[in-house]
Formats: sequence, structure tokens, C-alpha cells
Amino acid sequence: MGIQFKDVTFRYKGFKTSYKALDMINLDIAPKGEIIGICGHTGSGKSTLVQHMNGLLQADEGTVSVFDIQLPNKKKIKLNTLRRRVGLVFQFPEYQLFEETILKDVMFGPKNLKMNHASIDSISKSSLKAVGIDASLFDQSPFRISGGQMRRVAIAGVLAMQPDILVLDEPTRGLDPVGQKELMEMLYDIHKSQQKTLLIISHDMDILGAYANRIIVMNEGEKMFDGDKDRLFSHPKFDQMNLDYPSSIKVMKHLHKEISLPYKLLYTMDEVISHIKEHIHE
Amino acid sequence: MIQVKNMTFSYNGQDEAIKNVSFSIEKGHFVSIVGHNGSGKSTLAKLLVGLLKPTSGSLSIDDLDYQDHNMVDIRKKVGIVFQNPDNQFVGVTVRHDIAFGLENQQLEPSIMEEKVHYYASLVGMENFLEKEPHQLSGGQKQRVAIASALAMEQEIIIFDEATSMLDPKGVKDMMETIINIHKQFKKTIIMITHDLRQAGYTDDMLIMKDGTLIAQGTPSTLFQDVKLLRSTQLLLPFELELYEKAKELNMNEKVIHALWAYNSKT
Repeated sequence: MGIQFKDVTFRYKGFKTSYKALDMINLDIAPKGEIIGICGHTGSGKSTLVQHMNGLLQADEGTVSVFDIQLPNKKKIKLNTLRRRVGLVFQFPEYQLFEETILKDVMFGPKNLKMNHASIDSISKSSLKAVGIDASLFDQSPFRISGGQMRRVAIAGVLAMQPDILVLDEPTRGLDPVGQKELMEMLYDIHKSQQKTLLIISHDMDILGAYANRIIVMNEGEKMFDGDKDRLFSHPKFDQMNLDYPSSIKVMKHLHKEISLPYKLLYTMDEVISHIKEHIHE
Repeated sequence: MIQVKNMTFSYNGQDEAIKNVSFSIEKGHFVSIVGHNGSGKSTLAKLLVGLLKPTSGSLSIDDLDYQDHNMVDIRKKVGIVFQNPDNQFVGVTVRHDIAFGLENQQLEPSIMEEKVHYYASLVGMENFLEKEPHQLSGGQKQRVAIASALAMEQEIIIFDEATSMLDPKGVKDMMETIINIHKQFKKTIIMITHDLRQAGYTDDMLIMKDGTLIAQGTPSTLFQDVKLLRSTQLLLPFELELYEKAKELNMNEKVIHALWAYNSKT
């Protein structure tokens, strides 16, 4: 069992006010092999949801179980194990870089887990390699590299904890389109080579369409949809979900209407091109 | 009018983040500055708002040079909304955040209150005035940041990737808000973005690459130069890329025509 939510409700409490951010959420996430996209408009509870997955927030009502550890749970040791198994990459994780060198920054996490020296070193280096940071940069300051590289270093820092499940909150936000694509390809490679389950919060339906298998739609703290992406994009009530179709689907709808190209749910440029070639000859 | 002449800037005295850039922006124009991460577009924004000083070259607004003795007047003319709202939320509540800049203008409380309400409602945050920052999502905080900037009523507003925190609907609403502000208040708007679709809404587009200005023109002219756009590391919008590929692959005319029609519509 990976992560399981049972009737989870959570409120943010202010000085006098409180605000229900999650409302009776039920959810099952497999420990391996899934790429799950989480979307929903701002304030719908996406970030609140994922912060329950490693105990940063704990439910007011209901329970979350993560690799058989039950939350709410006040024991520090249990929370530490859980945080190791579910790695959470926040929005703009590069703001959390702080060490003198890139390698030291990535080593910070595993050091806290009190692994032995040799393995800390090798895990950190292989994590940096996995995110495409060249060994020549290891001893450089993490503040003297580009924004895209800083984000990769920050992700390597989480990977070095060797989590089973990796949760990323808007990993491509703020990167330019080429940087976004490179980052997603890198995450996809990590998923493929290690079968880690990835949960990706994103507003970008093009990205979710191209990479996710399953999509969860949040709306005002409730789970509005949870299932296969094809089912989402052919859902009769899709228009009421306040979401955009991926660009590829919008183009397909247009081509279907204008030149009677057979309609099909497609998510990448290559798929669309071969579909057109197959059905419409020169 | 903003005039930039042969401006160069370096953060460390060696590598130039902005290399000999010259351009001008007419009063009341809606302009986008596009470029990849690290192309210098945000540095340019910080120079325009006076947070950084050029290493060489000059810039001026309405004949006011960016000299220390002019900075007070220049700051009254130009405001900025940054990418990350967490870096610019200064108030305890939404109300205080929008009022912060106004307090420095020593306005009557009743006028201040009026302005707070007016600008909060322009960005759809009028029902959140008593909320604290931690109760707001990133997108909501960004809308507050935009309201706070608008409340200063400067004639030039720079949006430095200000919509990147919003969801698609939020981006769409915000683009409409920005376009309306431009129309309604005749402000000069400078929008920094790496989204070519957004740049398509503007009157004039400046393209930055590796610290240099490589092109300036209307979006409809520049969008025809696909070679130029591709060289900037900005991915073309899906439908434009598909249209170009369809041409390259000599696809059936009706496909090319349908894609062309789709692109001119969006």
C-alpha cells in the first residue's frame, strides 16, 4: 500500500477565522508505477492535499496512511521515516538551496538521515547525475547557475533521500518552455528507470496530457475527478470543471470539425502528425 | 516615453546580463518582452524600475534621466509586479497590503479605503480584504500584488512574469484585466513573459536572447519569422508548431489551411 486517504478534512485556522481546505477526501495511490497529475484552479486544495502525504499537515478529521504509517501521528521518529519515503518538492524549490556547493546542498538530506559517509557521497552524486547536472558543477555554488539548473539541484536534494514516491508541486512553473520540457523528460526518465510513483501538481494541461496516466481534479477542497486521463478529457461534464483541454486536443477538435479528421484523444505532436498522415493523404 | 540607449549591465563586473541594448517604448503602448530563462528580460525589468543601475549607457522616462536626484519622480511613474507574490506581500491582510503604498502617499483614510475597494474589485479580491497571506493561494496573492501596484496609479506598469503563478483560468482573467487596464487607463504596460501566446496580445514585442535585443516588432510580423522564434529557445505554441510541421511535411492543402485558420483565430 502506498498512500491512502480516508475521509480527510482539513481546515486552515486564522486568528478568528477558519477555512476548510480539504473536504472528505478519499484517495488511493500505488507505491509504484503511477504518474498522477493533480490539477484544479488556485485555492482548490492541491498543495494542501500533497502536504498531507508526508505529514507536513495532518488531518483534522479522517486518516491518511502512508506506507502503513497512520496519520495524524505525533511521534517524531515515525514522521521522519515517512518523510524519507515520500519526497516532497515544493514550488520554487530552488529558494531553499543554501549550501556553499551544489554537492554539499544535495548531501544535506542524506546526512540528516545519518547514512554512512561513502553512501551519502555516492547517492548524492548519482542523484545529481539523474537530474542532468554535470560533475564539473559539483563544487560550484548553487547560486551561480541558471534557474533551471538550480531547480534540478533542488530536486536532486530530494531524490538523494531515496523516496519511494516523489511529489512535485508545480515543478515546471517559472521555467521557460524549453526548460519545462527538459525537466519533464528528466522526471519521466527517473520514473521509467526506477518505477517511482510521481505525483505532479500542474495547471499545464499539455504537460499532464503528455505525461500523466491518471489525473485528479480538485475543486474547492473536494475531489471532483480521479481517473484515467482519457476518461477526463472525454468526460461529459468536463466543461464544468473549469479546466482547459490540452492544446493537442483543441487542435484535434478543430480539425475534426473543419476537415472531418476522425476525432481521437491524442497528446503529443508526433501522435497528431501520424494520425493526420494516416487519415488524410497528400 | 521610455528611452533606452546602448545600455549594458553586469551583476559581477564580468559577464554582461544586458549587452548594449537600445529601444524605446511609446507612452500608452502595450509591449511584451519575451526571452528564455536567463535571456536578461527580468534584469531589464529591474533596470527599468530603477532597482538596478546600468553599468553603461542610459535610460530615461519622459526626459527624466535615471539619476539619483530623479529617482523619486521616476518611481512615481513606474511600478512593477514581480513573479513571486510571496516576495511582495507586505501587509498583514489583503486590505493592508493594498493600502501599504497608499499610506506612504499620506492620503485621507476615506480616499484610501475607496481605492483599496476599487482596485481589489478590479482583480476580483473584494471579498478577501480581511484574509491573511497564509490563507490565500499563490494565485490569489498575485492578484493582490497586482491590485497593490495598480493602487499606486503610476503611468507605467511592468508585469514581470506576473501570471506565472496562476491557473489557466486565472491567466486568462488576468490577461483580460491587464488588457482592460491598458484600454481604460491608457497606461503603458510592459509585460515580461516567455509565453508567446500572451505576447500575441500586445502591440509590440521585444525579443531578448542571451542579454541582447534580437528583434522588435508587432507580434503578427514576428510570428511569421519562425526561424527567428525557434532560435530564441521559446517553444512555439503547439498549434503554430504543428502548422509549420505540416508545411514542412507537405501535408494536404486542406490540413495546412485548417491549421492556418486555427492559428489566426487563437
